[in-house]
Amino acid sequence: METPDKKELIDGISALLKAHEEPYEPGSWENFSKQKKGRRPAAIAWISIAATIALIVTAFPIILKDNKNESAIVNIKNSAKKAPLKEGIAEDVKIIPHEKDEQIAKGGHIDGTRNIAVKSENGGRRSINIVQPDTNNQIAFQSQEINDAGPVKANLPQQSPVQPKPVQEHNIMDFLQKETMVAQVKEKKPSKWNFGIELLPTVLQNKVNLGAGITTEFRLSKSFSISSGIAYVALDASKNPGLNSGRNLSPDSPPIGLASYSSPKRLVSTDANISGIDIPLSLTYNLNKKLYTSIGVSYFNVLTETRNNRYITELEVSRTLKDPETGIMETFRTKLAEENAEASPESPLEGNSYLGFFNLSIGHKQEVFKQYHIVIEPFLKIPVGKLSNEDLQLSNGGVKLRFTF
Amino acid sequence: MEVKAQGSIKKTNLLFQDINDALAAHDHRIQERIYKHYWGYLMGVASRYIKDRNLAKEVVNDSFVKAFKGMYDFKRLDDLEEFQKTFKAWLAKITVRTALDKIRINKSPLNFVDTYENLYVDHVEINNKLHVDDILKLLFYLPDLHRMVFNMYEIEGFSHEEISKILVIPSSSSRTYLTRAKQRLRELYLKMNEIADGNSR
Repeated sequence: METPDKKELIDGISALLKAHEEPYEPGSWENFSKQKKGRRPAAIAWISIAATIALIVTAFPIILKDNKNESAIVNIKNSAKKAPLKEGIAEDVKIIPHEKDEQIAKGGHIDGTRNIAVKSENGGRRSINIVQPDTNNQIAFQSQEINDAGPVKANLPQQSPVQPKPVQEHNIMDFLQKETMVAQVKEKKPSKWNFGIELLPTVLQNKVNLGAGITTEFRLSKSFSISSGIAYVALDASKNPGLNSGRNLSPDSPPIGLASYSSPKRLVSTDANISGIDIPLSLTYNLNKKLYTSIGVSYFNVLTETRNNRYITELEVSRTLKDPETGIMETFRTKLAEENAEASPESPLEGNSYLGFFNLSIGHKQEVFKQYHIVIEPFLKIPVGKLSNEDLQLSNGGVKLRFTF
Repeated sequence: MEVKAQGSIKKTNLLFQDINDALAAHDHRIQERIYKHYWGYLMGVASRYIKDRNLAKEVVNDSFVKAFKGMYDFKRLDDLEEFQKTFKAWLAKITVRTALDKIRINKSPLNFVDTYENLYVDHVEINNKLHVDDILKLLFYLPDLHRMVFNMYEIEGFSHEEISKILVIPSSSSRTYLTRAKQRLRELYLKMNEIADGNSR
């Protein structure tokens, strides 16, 4: 590229560079397109990853089932109605693994070929080679007569394994496999929901309390499930302020004898009877079919609360006695103790709701009558939040007895 | 020769009619044609700012990515010739900004400015034929900031105010850098000619 002579340098440079274009390099667009595809937004990349994982997770069990199906015996009734068969194939057909090809059938694939023997009700037997070429996903069938006798004399075309097969036969085999899988899935698919009723004997500070409720469980996966429910729980709790920390109350006892007195009234303990609604939410991990462990929290609504305070009233008394023999006056001090209980007007928890307990449990399931389970579940409930701040000892444990259906 | 040129104009008009229609229809298939048509032009722009050819190619591709995102909102004009000019200038501005960003990423801030010893040349006439490669070599003898201001003002057509905003420098500095860049280019050009003359003798 050139400029005319006798032009000011800067103008010349400007004109030259403005007009400058490089020739297009072949392949640039193709490279650009590749780069552009690689620059997908992060969200799309994550969606792709998630979709791939989901596909693998869903496809893996199906593939496993598919492999198991290869050696299964399938009874097909009136298959001609569901999928048209070739001329000469009897309506009632059994597909069983060929004795000679048993090893191949168990092994699944050898060089992409599977052998299945087709046996008619009349004893005729035909071997079908299912050939899956590597280059494409088409399945070719090769029919071969093993036993000439019998009505199963299929007019199947004698084709080489790699030749394309009739679409009709492909459909039949697909249909057979799908039917087998659907039947198995229908048989084995349990409900994801479980419901139950439970009894909750709770041990709290050597006292046994009882509760009862209903539960529900949703199975997230084979190992994990979420459970919840609602239970009525009664708790007998107490607190012991300790002998040294008792409150000294005003003297209220009359004097005895001639002595001076002091009569402190000391709070020894508070007994509380709390009843409430416990709504647990737990994550359960199934260790195996019978054992599981669970962790969760409870929402606790206190319906009623009754408190009784126990006091000890101690009276220190000075007494003066006269010895009748010597006539000497003796003075000594003694204590008179009296214990009494009275209802407390305080009920700070009543009517309130708390994120009450942290729950831990381990359970054992025993199946009864196929669909039902009896569950024995030792558990531990530890108060958290507001309930843990109370002086009441609310940590409790017990054994849940549950019947699920 | 004229027939050939007329054919080229017709072809270009046809392309721009297609671009106009494709932008209206949000047709992504036009991207390939735009890319192939403007790749060389944008490489020319990027090469004025970035010496490394591979880096310049990256800049061009990044610019196309930006352009393809925004071009469907580009104001379309009935006048194809006007549309062609504005579209081309728009692509060039995207490329310049992308190149500057690339330089900022790969280098320290654009604050290094050389001082020239001999600033006395204010007018030089072209004696010999100018070649793009030689001019580009001369340009890359300039300090980064001077070269950028020169390119942006003299070739891309930015104003000093625009340059000051983009490069985050005072507009008075932009003017100064431009003057110095021009002087330096003239000086370098003369030196280059002297060497060439000496060699020829």
